[in-house]
Amino acid sequence: MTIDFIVNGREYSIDVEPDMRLIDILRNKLGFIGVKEGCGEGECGACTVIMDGEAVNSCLVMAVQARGKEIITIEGLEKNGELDPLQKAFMENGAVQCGYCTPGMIMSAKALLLKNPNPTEEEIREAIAGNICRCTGYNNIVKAVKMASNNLSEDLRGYND
Amino acid sequence: MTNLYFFTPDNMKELQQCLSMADERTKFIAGGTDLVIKLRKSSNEHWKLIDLSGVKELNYVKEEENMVRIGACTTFAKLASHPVIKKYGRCLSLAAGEVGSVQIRNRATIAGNIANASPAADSLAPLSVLGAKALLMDSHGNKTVCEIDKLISGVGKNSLDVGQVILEVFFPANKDVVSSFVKLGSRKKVSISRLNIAIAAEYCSGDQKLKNVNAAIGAVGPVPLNAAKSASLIDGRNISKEVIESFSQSLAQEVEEAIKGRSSMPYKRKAVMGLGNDLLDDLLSYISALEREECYDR
Repeated sequence: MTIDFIVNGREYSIDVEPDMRLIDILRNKLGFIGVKEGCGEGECGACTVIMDGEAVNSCLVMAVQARGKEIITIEGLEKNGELDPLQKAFMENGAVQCGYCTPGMIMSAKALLLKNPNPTEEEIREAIAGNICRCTGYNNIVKAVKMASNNLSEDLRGYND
Repeated sequence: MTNLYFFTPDNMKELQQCLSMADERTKFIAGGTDLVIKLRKSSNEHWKLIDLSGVKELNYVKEEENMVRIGACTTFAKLASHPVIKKYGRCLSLAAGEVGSVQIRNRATIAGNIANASPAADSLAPLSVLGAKALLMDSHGNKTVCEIDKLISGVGKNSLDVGQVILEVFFPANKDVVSSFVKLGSRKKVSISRLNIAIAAEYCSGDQKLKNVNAAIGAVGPVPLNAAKSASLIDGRNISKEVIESFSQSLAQEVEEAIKGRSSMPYKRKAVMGLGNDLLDDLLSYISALEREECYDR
């Protein structure tokens, strides 16, 4: 069957098989291979994307269920050749080691900052609790999200001035 | 992977049409957080999936005619943050906030949690103590009300008929009801309940006593264990240290009797005592916060 949906600001109308999941069409049909599959059971969070403003595991959403939805993947964060503040903060804070969890981790953090631009450390840890990282020990990731939120607040202040 | 047929109703009328075509192979999908995993593990099966996630009329929380009404496809994220649930069903909102991760809570639904019939389902004990019931609809469009426990026929099994679907979960909107929920898992976040307890009671600030106390223990059987004996120890009494102690002791006894002979019994019998303490601690601090608020309001 055919579904219409938006990925990273662009409209798509594609044929999907009934047994395909959102992650399958994002990676295999549309080439957004920044979406990673880890456990395939919603435990690790590597496949996290933003669907209609909410972080979801794209391995647990059937492709058909994405009809009419707006999806953002890690590839959609860069704007006009400029990385998202979160992506920059992850690099600056050593929040990336092997990198496999990074796209999902950043999308969970992005979903948080979209709703709550100035989260506490506890709120950051809650937001990424569904994302497993076996390298960093999480501290640098939390630092990076905090830095991105501070930069965001400063940008907003600059804008308001 | 299974052979699949997907039906995607966008409203109640289309859902009704889908229900009339349902047969033994029909399954419902909403958030998919359990079903998609099952789907991928089963092979050579032909499943007809009816996707409820597009039926907008099934996603709501409202207070209506002294009832709290929750649409079948309401997510745990919504239950955890919704003011009506916080006000009348605090234990459900606490439980909802501890289900899985943010990603899971954004998709998993209340009716899915019931129909999936996992003994570790976090919503079941809260729904039980709040006296919740479910509104069902069959393939002819007939609506019936059913107790939540009766919908669960065994581990992972529900008693819904072919083509019968949960439309709504509802419980009384009683402003005097205070409630709490605590759970024990193998880690702090994103964990599956090894044990959980919910409690709900009417609280009258005049005599500072709890009345009509209901307590239920989750993850000791297919449906929550009604801890009536333990609840009766609190009913109509001031909650002293001694009362808390006897409540916890009694919980241990009820768990022991319920799962006698199971390998998890020695652990759960002990663990439930600590959990019982935490439960009453939380309930009492919630009550004192409420009273402070009331003083402030005056």
